[in-house]
Amino acid sequence: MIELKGITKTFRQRDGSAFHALKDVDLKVLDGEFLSIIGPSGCGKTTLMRMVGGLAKADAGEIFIDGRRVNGPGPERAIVFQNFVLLPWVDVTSNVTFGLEMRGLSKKEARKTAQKEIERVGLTGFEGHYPHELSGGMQQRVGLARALAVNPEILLMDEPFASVDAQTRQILQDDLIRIWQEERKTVIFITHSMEEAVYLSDRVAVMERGPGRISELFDIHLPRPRDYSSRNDVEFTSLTTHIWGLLKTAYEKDGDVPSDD
Amino acid sequence: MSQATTSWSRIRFQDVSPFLPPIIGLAIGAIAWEIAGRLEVSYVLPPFTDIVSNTWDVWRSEAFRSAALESLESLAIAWPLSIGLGLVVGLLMGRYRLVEWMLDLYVNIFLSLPLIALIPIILLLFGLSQTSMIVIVFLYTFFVVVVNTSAGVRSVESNFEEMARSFGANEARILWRVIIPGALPLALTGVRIATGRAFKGVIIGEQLVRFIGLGGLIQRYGGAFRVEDLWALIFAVGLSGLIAMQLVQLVENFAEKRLPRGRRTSQ
Amino acid sequence: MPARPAWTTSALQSVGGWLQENLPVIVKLSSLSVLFIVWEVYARQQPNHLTISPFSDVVSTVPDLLGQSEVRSAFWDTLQPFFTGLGLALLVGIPIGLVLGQSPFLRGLLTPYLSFLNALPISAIVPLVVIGFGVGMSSRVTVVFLFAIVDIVLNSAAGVQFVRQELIEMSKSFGANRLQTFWRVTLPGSMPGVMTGVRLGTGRAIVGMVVVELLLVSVGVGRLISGYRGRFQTDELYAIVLIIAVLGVVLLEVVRRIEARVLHWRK
Repeated sequence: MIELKGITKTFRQRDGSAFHALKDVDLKVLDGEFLSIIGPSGCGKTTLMRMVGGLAKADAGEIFIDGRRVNGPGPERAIVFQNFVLLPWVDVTSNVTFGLEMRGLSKKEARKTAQKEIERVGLTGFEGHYPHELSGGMQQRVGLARALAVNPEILLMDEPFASVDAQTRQILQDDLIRIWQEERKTVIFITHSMEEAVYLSDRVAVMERGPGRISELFDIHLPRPRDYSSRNDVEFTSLTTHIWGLLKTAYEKDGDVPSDD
Repeated sequence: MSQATTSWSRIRFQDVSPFLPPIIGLAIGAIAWEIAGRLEVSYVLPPFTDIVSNTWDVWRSEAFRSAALESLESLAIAWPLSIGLGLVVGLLMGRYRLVEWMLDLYVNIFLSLPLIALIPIILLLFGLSQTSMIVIVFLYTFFVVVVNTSAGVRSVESNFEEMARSFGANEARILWRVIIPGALPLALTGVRIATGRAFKGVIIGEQLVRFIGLGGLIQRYGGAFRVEDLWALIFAVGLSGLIAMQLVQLVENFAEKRLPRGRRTSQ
Repeated sequence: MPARPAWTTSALQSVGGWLQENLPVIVKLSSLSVLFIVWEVYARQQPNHLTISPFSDVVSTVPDLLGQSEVRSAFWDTLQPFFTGLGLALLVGIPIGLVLGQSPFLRGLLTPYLSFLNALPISAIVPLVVIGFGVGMSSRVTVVFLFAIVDIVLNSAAGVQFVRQELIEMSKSFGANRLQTFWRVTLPGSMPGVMTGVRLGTGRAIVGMVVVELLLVSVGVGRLISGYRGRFQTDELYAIVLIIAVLGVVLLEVVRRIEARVLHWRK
């Protein structure tokens, strides 16, 4: 279980005034739960995920995973990045083995595990390709395989499908659901898209900004396994409409602010 | 009151901090040099303080002044000529394909071969004279300006040109309002690089001729083992090159700020 | 008007098409041949060949020179300090650059020295080097080293700074320690900058190599040049300069090939 307690982060702005990126955020994520965090730009959702990943530190508050305090990156967590962040100078296989090799596995063992994950994300035949030879969607599949290869308990996904076109995004969402269904890892999924959040998640946290905090949490009762037709469900429509209402108010109140990601 | 003190010290540190490491670096270097000099580690490293006091004397000497004047004269003739011509030719090459085809082989040849190897031939053709220095500086600078200017012209997005054309602008107007402002930042980068090369060209040329300018003075002092005087000349040449390049950089920064961002590509 | 037979039209069209397609090459080659023709005609009109030789004579002298064992061993003498000096500069410069790239403080410490050396005509230090090390091999190596080192350090450091910060974070997030991150991310990521440094440093080392030959008491190609000059062997002088220029271009092309090989993963 992931517990966030009183997370606060303040940035000093150019004019010297304080910008409350996050203020007193409390959140619990259950084992095997798929939780999405959605909110306007500048609400601190990416910062929050980076803290869980151990890449950023809070000014105040603590994060616990199964009762142990988070003090940096750990083997039970793996991140899927928005801009894929693949090593451009090695091929698909070596990108996928990266995390395994950092954990001390031999190249040979790592390759065996990597091969399985490459198959699972549907990249068989592209093992020897370099990142620049792949489309955005395929690059993110590599990013997903790299994270899955280290077999983490928790998958942290930072707007993973924001940089691909709409159709590819649809396909990637369905593949993610299928893969998640096999192992039911805990997932924290950051997104800008209401449909994506509702379609994928067990729960959706809606954030506000100024100061950044969680304003509402929704349980999503759409039956699993889900597919495209789940979007016709009455609950899907009513939830997305409701969340849009919240986000719209936030945008109307503050206008657009520079994105934090 | 304590609050006032902390914010005061913070502001001061932020203002000074970018200059701090270079100053520390220079201080360490000066001290190390002084110690090495006092320990007589090497004949070419006299104590730093001796060099500094001597440098001032050398810079005021008649020999230095007349030599520096000769070097500056070569630069003052060659630099404007090659920059001016380089900008025009670069503009034409970037804008008109026929000109590009006619000249780009020459530009590539002169940019990729070691120009210094041509100096013996230049001395043969133009004599052991200032004319040779002017030719050398021209060759050292001209092609750099040309290649950067034409790259600058090509970097102007065709959208802006199309937009201007759609409003009925003619070629002269497009050149003046769209192409030249858009090409200016890269062209000025070329001018800055060329300015550094101009100093290098004139000094090496003079060193080979031996009796013209600062380069000649360097060779003569070297032959007479006048180590402290040599250091004074090295400081003079290096610092003036540095200052000249910084001046062009200022113009470059000014142009960058004044020109609308959209007129340039991200490169 | 009688209709032209179909084959003429198509032949004309294909000739026109060929012309249009190859126009750039045609323009380029004719523009280059203008230079050679002017050179040839001008030289042939001179009453003597003390200052300029006809292009054809220069070209035909090249194989003669290359056939002489004296010339070949002169080139060997010239290339030895070149390879040693460049090798040392790479061995020292790349690690320094990689360290500087990761430490803004150290970068600040060395900035004054690097900017000074960047603006200074390195040839101006040559007399000091000779006073310090004599006219032997160590002086030659030092000059080549000094010419090459600055570009290698600056570009390697820039290479490190251009490594995407995201990649470093990614590496940390998978539990990599600092050493692992350096070997797997920072080092390969800074290769574009490092290889630029290798390429520019090689170019500078070639200049240094020629400076050594022209300024020091010569043993290699420099001695050939001063000999040809003294004996008014203009054909040989032009030919040897041509060989050096081509050698420089070839050396740079080799480095370019290596660079492309190392950076094959770039788009």
